[in-house]
Amino acid sequence: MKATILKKLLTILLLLTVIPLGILGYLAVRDTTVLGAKASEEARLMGQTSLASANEIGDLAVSDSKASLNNLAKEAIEVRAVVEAKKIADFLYERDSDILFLKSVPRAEAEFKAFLDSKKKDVIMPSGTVSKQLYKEIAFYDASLNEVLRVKSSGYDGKDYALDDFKSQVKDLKEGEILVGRLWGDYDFKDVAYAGVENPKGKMYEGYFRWVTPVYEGGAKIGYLSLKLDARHVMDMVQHISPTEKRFVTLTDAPSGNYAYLVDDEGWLITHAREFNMKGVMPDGTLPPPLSKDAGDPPVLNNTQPLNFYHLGAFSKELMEIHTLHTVNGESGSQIYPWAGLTKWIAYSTVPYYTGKNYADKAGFGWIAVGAQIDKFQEPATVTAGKINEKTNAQAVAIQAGIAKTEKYINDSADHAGQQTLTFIVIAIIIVVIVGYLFANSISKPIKALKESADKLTSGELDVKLPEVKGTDEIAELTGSVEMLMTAFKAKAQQTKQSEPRKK
Amino acid sequence: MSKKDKCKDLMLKFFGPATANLVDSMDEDDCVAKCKQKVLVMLGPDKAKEFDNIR
Repeated sequence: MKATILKKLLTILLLLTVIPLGILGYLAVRDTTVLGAKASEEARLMGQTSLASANEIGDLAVSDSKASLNNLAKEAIEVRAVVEAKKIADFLYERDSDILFLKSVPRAEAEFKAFLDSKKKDVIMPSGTVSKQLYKEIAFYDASLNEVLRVKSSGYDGKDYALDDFKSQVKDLKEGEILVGRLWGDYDFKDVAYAGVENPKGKMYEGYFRWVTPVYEGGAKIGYLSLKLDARHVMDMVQHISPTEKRFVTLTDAPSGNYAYLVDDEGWLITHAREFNMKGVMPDGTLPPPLSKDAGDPPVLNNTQPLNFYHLGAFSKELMEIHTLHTVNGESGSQIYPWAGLTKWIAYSTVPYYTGKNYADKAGFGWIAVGAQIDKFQEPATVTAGKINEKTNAQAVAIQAGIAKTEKYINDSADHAGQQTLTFIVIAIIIVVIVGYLFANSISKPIKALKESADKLTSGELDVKLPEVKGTDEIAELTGSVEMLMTAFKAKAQQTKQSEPRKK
Repeated sequence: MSKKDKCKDLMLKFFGPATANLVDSMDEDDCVAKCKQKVLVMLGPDKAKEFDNIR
């Protein structure tokens, strides 16, 4: 292939323009792509940071809200425990008033019976609400504690327990002083005992608390009045408490965890949904051993399962310490504790009743516990947390959509810029090729014409015309020079032609 | 009529338009000498003498 001036010029022009443009284009496209990728990455990172912040804020809000609502719910149940404890104490103090009033009542069967009949209160039984006599029995003992008169409420068998040794405790009582005994009643075995929802037709606990006060006449002690409060009335104030939105229930559901119970100052359970967990006297006149690790797991011994908090440490140190560290000091509060593999929570409050030497110390009458299932009292917090999570998730979705949109916009812009650069380069190359061709042609064409004229002349064709050239550039000067040479050549050729015939 | 024009006419006559155009790039002062020298070399002293008449 012949390397003409045109080709050389075109090649040089192309090399001088296309290569730099190509490099420029490559760098521009590469930088645009890198810039786009970097901007996209930055946008994605910013989005992720925003998303993380949104999630963090959401989590914090959920956590704070949950903690706040939990605290409110806990406080509400703690307050309820205190209020219910105060109600029990007030009820017990009314009994103090009753026995002191009873001293003024003539000690006669009819009078005592009238008193018993006048003291009634509604209690909720599984069958419904019934009006029940407050007291099971009124008795009068002489100064030597021999029974003088005993009047029982209807249906009461008048059972006394040897463990109820009130006689040994009342001798030192002064006028106006009262001795209040602890709970006494038959122990109800596990298979027959009433247990709320679990056994609504079971045998209901029968027990009493005894009030005793000395009777003085003319400054001398003449005897003692004894009043047995039906324990069902105390139990009724506790058994129907529910920490849920229902507030009160007829049948307590112990497995739900949402119920209340009562513990006396000695740690015995004296009210519970499962009445076989309560303190009671066995047929042989003794107390069954309280639930302990020795009783096995599940802790049932001889079909008995009374609970005493001094013995619960092996099952739940926290639960035991409510009694041994807090309620003995008259405190109230709440406690989370493990029980049978579950995490439970209760609010507790000492019952502020301090009559008589049995209840004179800070432990008072004992304490009430209002238990709540963690999930249940966290319900408002869980609902709020759910709403906050919903909002946070919606925000996260919006942020992710924003990230995707920004990334797409950046990528599209980068692609567009790259395409524009490529298009510009292609157009520039086309222009360079066209302009380069025209320019190279303007040089090579007259040279080619000169060459052809010179070829004709050297072939003997003397009547040769040179191409017409305008301007004063090097091509024009070359043409002039060629023209002079050709004229001289023609002149020489004619001279030679004319001289040849003379030589012949 | 300038010397350049006169030279241009002679060069057009002796050689042709392309050669005549070469005069345009010459100076007024030395165009006669330069053109005469070229004609002397290319066409001989007879033709070159015509430049002697240019004043």
